[in-house]
Amino acid sequence: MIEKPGTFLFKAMGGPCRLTLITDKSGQATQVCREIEQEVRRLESKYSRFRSDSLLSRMNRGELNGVPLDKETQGILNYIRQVYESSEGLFDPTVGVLREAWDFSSQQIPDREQIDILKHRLGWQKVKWDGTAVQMPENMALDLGGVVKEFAADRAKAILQKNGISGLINLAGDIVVSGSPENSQNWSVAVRHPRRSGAFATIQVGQGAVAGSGDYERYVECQGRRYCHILRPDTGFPATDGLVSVTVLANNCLLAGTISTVAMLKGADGVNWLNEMGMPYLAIDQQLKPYGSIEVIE
Amino acid sequence: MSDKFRKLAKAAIAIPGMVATAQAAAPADAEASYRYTKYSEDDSPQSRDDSGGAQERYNINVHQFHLLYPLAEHWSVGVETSLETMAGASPVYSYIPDSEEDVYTHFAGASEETRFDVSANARRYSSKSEAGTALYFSKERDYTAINAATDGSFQINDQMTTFSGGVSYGHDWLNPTVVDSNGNVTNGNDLSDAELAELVTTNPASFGAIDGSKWQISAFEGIGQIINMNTVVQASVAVTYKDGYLSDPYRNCVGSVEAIAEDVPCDIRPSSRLAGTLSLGGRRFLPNLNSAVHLDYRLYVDTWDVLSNTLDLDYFQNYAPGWTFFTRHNIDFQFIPGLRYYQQTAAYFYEVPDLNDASGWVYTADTTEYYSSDPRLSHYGALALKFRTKADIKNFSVVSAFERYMTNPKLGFNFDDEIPGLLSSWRLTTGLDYRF
Repeated sequence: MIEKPGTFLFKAMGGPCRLTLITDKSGQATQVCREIEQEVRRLESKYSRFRSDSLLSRMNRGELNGVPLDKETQGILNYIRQVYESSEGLFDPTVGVLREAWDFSSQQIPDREQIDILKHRLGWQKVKWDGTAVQMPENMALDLGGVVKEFAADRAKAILQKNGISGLINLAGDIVVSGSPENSQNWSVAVRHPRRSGAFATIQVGQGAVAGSGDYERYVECQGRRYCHILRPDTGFPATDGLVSVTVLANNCLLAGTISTVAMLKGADGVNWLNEMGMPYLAIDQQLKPYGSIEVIE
Repeated sequence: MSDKFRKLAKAAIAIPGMVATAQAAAPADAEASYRYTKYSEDDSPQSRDDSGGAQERYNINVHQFHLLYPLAEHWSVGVETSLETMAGASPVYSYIPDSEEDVYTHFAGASEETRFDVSANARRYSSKSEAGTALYFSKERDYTAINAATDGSFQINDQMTTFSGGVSYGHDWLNPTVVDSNGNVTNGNDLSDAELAELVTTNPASFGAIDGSKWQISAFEGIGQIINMNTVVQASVAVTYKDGYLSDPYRNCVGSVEAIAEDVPCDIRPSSRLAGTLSLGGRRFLPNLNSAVHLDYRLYVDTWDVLSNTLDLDYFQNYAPGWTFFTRHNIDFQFIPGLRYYQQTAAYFYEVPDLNDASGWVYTADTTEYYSSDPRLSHYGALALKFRTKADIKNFSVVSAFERYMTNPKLGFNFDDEIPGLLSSWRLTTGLDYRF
């Protein structure tokens, strides 16, 4: 669907996807947008946990145990293994089973006993990933929600670059840019305010990708404390003592997304992690105080 | 940049499709490699050596180091050095002695030499093109060479077509060595006037090359076309022009059993050479076999009337054992058997002097009269059998290569001549690559 010249919208991966392309040739723009949409939908249907026929669902049912996976999936799982190791096990694609206890539409937190039972079904290290094939243990499942949308954004950028088109792609908050906008060196990207509607800040992005995580997307508020959907595998709970929002700039969206997610998981240690990663970031703490190396226009 | 971040960034880039296929991304990894090569020529036949004994031909040991380092997103720099030690006798000239029918070869005694070279390059990569420049320096006791080259490529037609091109310029300086009666080796430039005057008569070829130099300029243009997912074809043309002292300063006449000339070198070649090559190649990936076939042909012609044909056929078999040990450690293999056929015609001034036909001196001091008995300028053919292996183990690759090279006039459809001094050889290379 064309919103205005050069801007295209579609819905995929659980959110709105907006493509802003800078090109004189509207025919080419339409064709490139179609290619991007097809690619995003391809990844969605391949890695969706909601579709029983997806590759991910087949893996989770154990149907592909020991079967060499395609190179793309191998690359994604190798990346996850690396994030798991770098984050000392905090970023774990098996935490999805905790959703059996967490209901973010309610205002209740699950009881510890229930979490403790579910924790037996967590642990990336139990998924015997050998670089080629997985061995999914029974009652466990992988959820690639933390990487596939970011990877799709990077794929979209690759398609823009292949076609030599400048543009900005926003897949429900995961943003990549290619080239420059008209009349400017940088793209302006708004960072959402974590506690009210509207922007907290606007940042300038010259190249690469922007991704963020925050406690404002889905959460449970209980006894004055906010429990967001970014859950730690060791406790089964989110870190409640750390940052409320993290935005990271990186060469690719996958990196930006995982670095920000891990920063949220790290709790009070999140800023140290961001500094160690060395990418430009904007972090907001519980008192709504901003930290970081991204220059913001308030 | 922390080690953790570097590992993450590498794992992200490694996912297929992360980078636009069009984007000639700068290499993601730095790479260091080492190669050791042992090259050995077969001994010459004893019966055709005019000294009466078999000569141990060249043995060469080469140590090569290579470092490639990506800089920022679009750049890489590389440095390469090699150290070569050579020992053995080399053929000086061939002739048919008076009252004989067979061709004999005269060898220079065993010599030992060392060669050192170093080159540095920088490349810039962008979405549809890349360009690089390189500098090269090489030093031997009697030889110094420099070279500068630049090349580039760009893609069109949805990255299905790649055009490439480049130019290079090189300059070589000769400072031939001479061996005195006591066996001392001296560079020509270090001799006194009196010694130089003597050299004119005792070692005319080396004398003629003192302060000699040559330069060369070369340009190439290529095109590559992706036909489909599994097939790529490519073609290129190159032109090289050389000018200066192109003769071999060590092909002297003096010292042979039968002197065939006096005061003149036995190897006088034209002072310029223009050469052209046409290369055609095809690559075919065979998905069912997880292998690839490479076929390459090269036609070479030059103004010395040398025309050569080279045909290479290589088969690349990839093999990743499915056993847990191999998959856990990311170990896979590549086996590459190959075959090369080579055939060339003789330079117009190639000749084996026949002392039966000449009374007195065969050669004169007239340096516009060209002649050489260098077997590399003769009409001959060659066959090489190659076998290479590569094992990838995590960040390491272990490579090895074996090549047997056989030369023979008959292989080049020359059934009339004997070509003494043609060499057959074997070569063994082993090495290690490390990506970090």
